[in-house]
Amino acid sequence: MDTLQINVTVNGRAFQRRVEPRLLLSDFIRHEIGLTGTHVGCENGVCGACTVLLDGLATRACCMLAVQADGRRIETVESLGRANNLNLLQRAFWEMHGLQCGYCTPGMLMLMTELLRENPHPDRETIRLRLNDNICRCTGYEDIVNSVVRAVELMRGETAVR
Amino acid sequence: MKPPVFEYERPDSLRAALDSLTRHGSKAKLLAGGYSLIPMLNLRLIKPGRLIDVSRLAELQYLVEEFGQLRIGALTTHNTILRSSAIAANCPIMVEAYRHVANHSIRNRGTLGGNLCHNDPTFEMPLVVTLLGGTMLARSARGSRTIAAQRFFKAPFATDLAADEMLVEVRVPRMPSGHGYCFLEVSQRLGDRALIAAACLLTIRYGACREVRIGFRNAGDSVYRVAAAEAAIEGKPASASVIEAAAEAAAGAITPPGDLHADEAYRRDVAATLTRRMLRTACARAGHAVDG
Amino acid sequence: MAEVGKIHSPPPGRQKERPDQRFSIIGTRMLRKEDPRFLAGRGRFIDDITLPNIAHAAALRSPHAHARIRSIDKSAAEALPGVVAVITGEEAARETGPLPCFANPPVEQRCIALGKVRHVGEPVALVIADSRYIAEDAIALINVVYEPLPAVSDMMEAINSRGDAVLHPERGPNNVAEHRNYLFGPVEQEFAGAAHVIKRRLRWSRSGGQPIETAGAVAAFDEGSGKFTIYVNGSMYNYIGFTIAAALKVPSHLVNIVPVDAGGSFGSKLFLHKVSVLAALGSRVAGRPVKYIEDRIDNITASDNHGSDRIYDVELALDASHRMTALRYKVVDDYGAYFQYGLGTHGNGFSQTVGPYKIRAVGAEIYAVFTNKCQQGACRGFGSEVTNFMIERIVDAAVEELGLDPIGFRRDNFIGPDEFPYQIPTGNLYDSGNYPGALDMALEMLDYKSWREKQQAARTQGRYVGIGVASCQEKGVFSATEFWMLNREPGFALTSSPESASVKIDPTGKAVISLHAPCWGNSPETVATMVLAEQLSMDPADISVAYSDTDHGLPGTGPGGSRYTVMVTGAITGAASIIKEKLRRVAGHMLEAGPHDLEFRSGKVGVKGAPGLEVAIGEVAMQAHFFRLSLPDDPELTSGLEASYTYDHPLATLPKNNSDFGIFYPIMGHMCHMPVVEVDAKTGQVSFLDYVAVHDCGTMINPMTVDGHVRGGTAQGIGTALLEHFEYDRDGQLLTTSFQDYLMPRVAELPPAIRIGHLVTPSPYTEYGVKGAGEGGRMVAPPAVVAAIEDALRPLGVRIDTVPITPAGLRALIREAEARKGGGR
Repeated sequence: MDTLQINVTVNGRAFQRRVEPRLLLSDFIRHEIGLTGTHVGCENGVCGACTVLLDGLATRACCMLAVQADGRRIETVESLGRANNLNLLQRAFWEMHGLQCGYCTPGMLMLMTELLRENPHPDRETIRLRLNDNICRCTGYEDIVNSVVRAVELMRGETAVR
Repeated sequence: MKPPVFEYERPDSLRAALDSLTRHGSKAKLLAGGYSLIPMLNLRLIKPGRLIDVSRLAELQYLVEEFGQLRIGALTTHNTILRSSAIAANCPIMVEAYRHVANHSIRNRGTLGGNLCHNDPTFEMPLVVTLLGGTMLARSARGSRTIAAQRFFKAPFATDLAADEMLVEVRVPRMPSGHGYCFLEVSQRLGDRALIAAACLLTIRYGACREVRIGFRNAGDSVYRVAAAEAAIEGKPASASVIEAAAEAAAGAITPPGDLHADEAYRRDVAATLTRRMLRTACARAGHAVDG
Repeated sequence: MAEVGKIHSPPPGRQKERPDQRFSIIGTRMLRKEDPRFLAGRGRFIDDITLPNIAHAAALRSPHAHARIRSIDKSAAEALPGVVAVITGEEAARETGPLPCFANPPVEQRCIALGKVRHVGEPVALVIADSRYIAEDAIALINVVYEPLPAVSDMMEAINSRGDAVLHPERGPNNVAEHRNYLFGPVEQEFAGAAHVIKRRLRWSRSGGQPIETAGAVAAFDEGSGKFTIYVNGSMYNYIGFTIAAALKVPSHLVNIVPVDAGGSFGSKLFLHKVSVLAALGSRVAGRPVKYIEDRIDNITASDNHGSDRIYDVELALDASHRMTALRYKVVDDYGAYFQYGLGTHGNGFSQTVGPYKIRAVGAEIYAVFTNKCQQGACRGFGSEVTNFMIERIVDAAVEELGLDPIGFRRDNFIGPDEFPYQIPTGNLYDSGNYPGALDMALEMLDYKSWREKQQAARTQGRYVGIGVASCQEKGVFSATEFWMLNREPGFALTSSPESASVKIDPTGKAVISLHAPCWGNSPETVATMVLAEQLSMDPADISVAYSDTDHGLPGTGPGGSRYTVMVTGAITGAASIIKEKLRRVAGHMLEAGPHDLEFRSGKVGVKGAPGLEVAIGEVAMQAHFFRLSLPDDPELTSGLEASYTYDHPLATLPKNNSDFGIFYPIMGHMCHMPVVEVDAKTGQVSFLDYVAVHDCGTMINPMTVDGHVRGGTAQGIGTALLEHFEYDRDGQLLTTSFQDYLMPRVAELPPAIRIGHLVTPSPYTEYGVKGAGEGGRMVAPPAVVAAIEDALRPLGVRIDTVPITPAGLRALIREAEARKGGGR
């Protein structure tokens, strides 16, 4: 068996590709679709850098086969905003120094996007508990927590963007 | 770290999956959530010729309350179970244990069936299901059979399932209201593999502890329920000294491993501590706080 | 030996920009320039680079810790469809030389093991294929016949290794890479006359940077020009990049190294010789561009950047008034299979080997040994974090044994705020500081008294709460002498460690800064933009930043050793100074005013005291670019508006001899950390109740990014103290080969908040008085956390001399202590 045809929706666009069954979803997104914002850290399911949303659920793309995404809807960091038009969550990270090297950041953003859709007003403890899914080696996490807290404020329209 | 070559199929029914298992047997592996299987493939620790992807079999994703028991489809995800009010009401020990099961992202796709069938000796759910007195329903092309939890978990990473069988349902009895329960785990980081985990269930009737079940994970190959610890408290009123006896019995009865992260002495030592703590909590939850 | 104490004739400095100015931009929490692209997922990391017809490489990793390679049968691998080439160590040795090494004599390391493997994970063959998947398939088909040799994993045993257990027989009969003795001051005398001598044995286990992104390179070889282009996520390409060319046996002008964004480094990407050479070698052999990215196992087993791995026997001499007079230590350091930086990590420690204290003599006996493990490299602190651990642990030991107050004892021994610049016994100089001030700030922020009261109350409830204190130095801005000053023979005794910046102002007045070193997450674009904006009174939005490859690069040593912000600030200041002079001349001509009557204000150049008389920088730039005949008739005044500046180390001198290394790391920051922990004595688990971190990094360009480094570094330090360990067994097998077993802190392991205080003692030597802050928290958190745990368990008399201290390890110490006290649970 060589390749299988799959149909995947990525960030709202439909793609049809032939892929080997063993192709990891992370490699499919990065190299087949060409969206390199999703990063690979461990290929072991531990670090969470490759987190995307699969039918709205936070999923580690390195632990899934592309063929499993057939007929599914994927959202990656590229769906959130553009560099000159960041969404409120991204803006909050910017304001609160929620990133340093930027490598784990797309995974963090997708993880938190899922949380904020589930729960638009999480408290600090809830944010920390969810944030425990992913590893950041640069920030020590506190500024990431602060970023999500800030995002909640911005989304509530409580304050203007900085 | 990329997987080796394998054949892949995604049967659209349980029937088709079982037929495939019958044909390919031990050369095939079932793919459910993937969070145990795919990392192993990436590390090339296993080289299955074929993956049978059952992750989308909706017919095995359900959670049904029946009189006396809960029936959980094997492909129900951890987060679905964790959020279920039926589970919270009837088997709260499962909810408490779920705090330690991997993490939220993994629980989004990871399934109870996949977890139980992998039977990693540090996984929590095999212990919980065993203590609850659960039963597994296995199906194959040849038919179906029920397997009591105690018999289902044979050895680390091994279950009683034959090569052509698939776990399709997990049944857990509904615990009586007012029962006592507790699940505790010690790990280096929150969500890590357990250095050791401990769980207990009991009810208190007329001041005495009844139907006491005490068990551990990562405390020895076949250790689930520790009869000696249960015997120390079964039928007795909950008291500091009775709990102490159970703790000592537990520490003495288990044969914990020593590994990279903790030696045998540590696990034995902590088993006693966790026994004391969990029995106190369980008794308090059963309405009978222990002094001293 | 060096005179110890306040230097009464301090060396003159070259500081042009004073710290005590009114700033518009410097010192503000300006949002980072780097962020928008990272947030949008548009960073440019090494795996994002692709070239037409690119092939992918994977390395066959040695399963043995020590073995001769008898034969390699690659025929089946080569025959696999999709495989382009399989390169063995012998083939690689025909095409490449040894990898660069700072030690002298050098220890030979090859990009692919030649004849012998010396650690698990060392590359034995490189497969190049159409995809990484196929390359890994091919690896499984390579048949290597090994002849196992005795593996040495215990550093003490390595000292006495013989015969086949010796990793580098050409270097000597055993596995001692170096054995050196240093005496800085009258050490013997001080110990002989000491009123008290405190001794401890300490163990610092090997951990590492472990960035979430591994190391990698993409290389293309152009047959037409004979030139390599190598993209790599490493640094130092504009410093010693020519050594990559040497390893590839090509002239250095035929290698262009191109930087990319790096997903973290923490030292481990300081100089990525191996991945660069492998990718380039692959591209030449394959006739196609080649991408070689370490996977996580490659990186954990063979990053060439494990951290220090030491056993110390340390002694402290005190006089009758409890003043520390001398420090003496013997250290054995397990360097693993190679020795790329020589004893650099010990030289680094010599920069601050007395900590913030007035210790007047230091003796050091250093054993560096080879074992069958991945070699050490650079890891946040570069050895000084271990020196800090040694010092604070022996200080705490003195406090414990002599029944002293941990705060008062430190205070009494501090170098005073009026004693700077201060020369320490090794010859290095501390430029400025206020150690009692940092201690006081931490005490106040923590509300130390209140926590001591809470601790007492907790003890009565049977809870174990502890407060730790650590006062440590954070050196910044290394001098190049550090690379060779401990070599027996210096070898290449380089003394330059510069940093450059190029600034172009285009005809419309917009600026592009070119940096000659990469972004590791250390905010170089933000810092450079802020300094230029301050210098020219420009809007930061009118400035962008680019990164130069080696074809266009100027000397740039790059991030590391907490140097980059200081050095790029100096470079930008220098470049801006040249541009300002030209702007003044041209604007002066346009405004008919003398250059000295002009000032920079809000993006304009204007006459002082005359608000209307001004021109926008853009207008001046347009004039400078295009209207030569309208400018003064001076041949020096050329068209255009740009400048480059190479900023050298602001204060470095040559080593004099082996007891005086001159000034090699004088820009000296300081930190005081006070964690409050609670220990579950029954399980050995530790949780944080509070954490105060006071840092003095002089003038801060951007306090927000400084805070980020403090928190991140402290998190890594907590990881080092409690969790992180590359653990090898007796046979040299690495037991922690993935993130499942090499444990890094997640948010749950860290304090809910790290409360940061800033003390500012500007450097008299750097522009604006900036000091380094990058390594920071990791250099002080380990002793602070260990001290807090000991303090919590003081009723039990537990002593902790090892990091990491895991729950099982701590519980064992508690059990022993309880047994010593006679039973009890």
